[in-house]
Amino acid sequence: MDLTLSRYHQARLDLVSGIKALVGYQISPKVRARYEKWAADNAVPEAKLRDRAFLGGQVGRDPLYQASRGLQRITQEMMWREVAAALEAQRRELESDLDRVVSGNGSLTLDPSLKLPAYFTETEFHLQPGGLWRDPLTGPIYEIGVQHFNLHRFGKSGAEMGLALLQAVAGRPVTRFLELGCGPGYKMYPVLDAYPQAEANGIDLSAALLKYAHRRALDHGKTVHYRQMNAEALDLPANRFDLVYNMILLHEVPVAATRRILREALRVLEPGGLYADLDLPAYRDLDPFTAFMMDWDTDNNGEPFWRGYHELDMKQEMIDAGFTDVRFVQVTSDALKNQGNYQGKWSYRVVLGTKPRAAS
Amino acid sequence: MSAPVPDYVADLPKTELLRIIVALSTEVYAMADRMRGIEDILAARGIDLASLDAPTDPAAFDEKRKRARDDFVQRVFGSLTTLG
Ligand SMILES: C[S@@+](CC[C@H](N)C(=O)[O-])C[C@H]1O[C@@H](n2cnc3c(N)ncnc32)[C@H](O)[C@@H]1O
Repeated sequence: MDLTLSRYHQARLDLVSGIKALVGYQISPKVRARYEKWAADNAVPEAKLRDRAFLGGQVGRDPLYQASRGLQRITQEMMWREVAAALEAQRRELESDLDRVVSGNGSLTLDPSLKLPAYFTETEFHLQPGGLWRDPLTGPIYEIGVQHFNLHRFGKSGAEMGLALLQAVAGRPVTRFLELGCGPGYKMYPVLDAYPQAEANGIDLSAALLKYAHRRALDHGKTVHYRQMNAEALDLPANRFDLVYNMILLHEVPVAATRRILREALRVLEPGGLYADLDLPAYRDLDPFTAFMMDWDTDNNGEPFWRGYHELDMKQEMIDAGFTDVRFVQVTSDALKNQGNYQGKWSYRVVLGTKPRAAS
Repeated sequence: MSAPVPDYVADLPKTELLRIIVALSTEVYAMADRMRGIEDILAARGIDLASLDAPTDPAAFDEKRKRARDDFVQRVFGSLTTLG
């Protein structure tokens, strides 16, 4: 698929991400510096700093903070609008390209009877209009939008999360794996490249994203079996995979769904198989300012389940779901170089757990 | 003596003003970029403007483009970084 944009539209997108960069690299560090000075000058205890309402009362008054939040919200909305406008001229060709049955390796199995959960259909995640399913061009729009959202930090191929996951999985042998909530699918490519002999499977709720993932995989010579399913109730046999993982899926679902997903992951893993959840760390593992700044997305960036996930005790959840050998691995992002959106030193957290050999 | 100027827009949400500034600067930036492109083309090859809309790869971000953009953002929004 040809996803190149005209110079005119690319310029519009460049400007929008330029303002995001101004917020991320210039304004946010100053907001943090003022916060740090205030916290030190007043010897504010950590418990107070972790009180969001209290911190909001302080940081929220800073005009720099207000400017950064206004700009963040506006540019996020503009970003999606600009991407969609940029692709509009190609819409007909792109849609028919996505619908065209192309023979090749791998497969795509859609389930038009699948009931999509309300938390999924009713949320415009990251403020993407139509959410992650309504627009047939959801996939291309998502991929281009995310590149600008991330300020191109994760490289042209967007491979960073996949590489981080591999670092946590640490070279263990894999013969058949499953990615839950695979979306447009490209973040799986490093895993495919690391395990070229393995059978690769991806599931997602969104038919639009899966169509794009399938088409993209064919274009890139990748062999993946994509199926439309709800990760909370997998239409897959038990004991089938030696690796099941998801990347930034669980912060998009309510806690009750996370619990069902963990149980399903355990069921479809073979005994001794590994489950991995890659996401950003829990608030409690971040400094109070970074946690405060991150939490903004819950109410302002189409992330209603963000706070719930980042406050969850994932170790306990994994144990309750039946996993053993539960542990966290922190992978520091090379691309971020400690310059994340809020200048926090965050990296990825990978939660790992094993299916007990005695369980089935 | 000129008539005093009341704050006609006192109750206009500032966020809406910011939205207009961002939208306007996008328009201006896109035009400025287009002008640069025209100048490049004219300088290099006469008046062949067709390549002005040569497709770009959104996944790639070249340094020259980034510098021009960051300079522009700084000129327009730089004052915001010193608020308060
Ligand atoms: C933030 S996106 C991440 C996509 C992909 N992992 C990536 O990093 O590019 C979350 C994905 O999870 C999918 N999703 C959300 N809830 C799901 C569920 N219950 N079952 C399967 N997929 C789900 C969404 O459609 C979306 O593709």
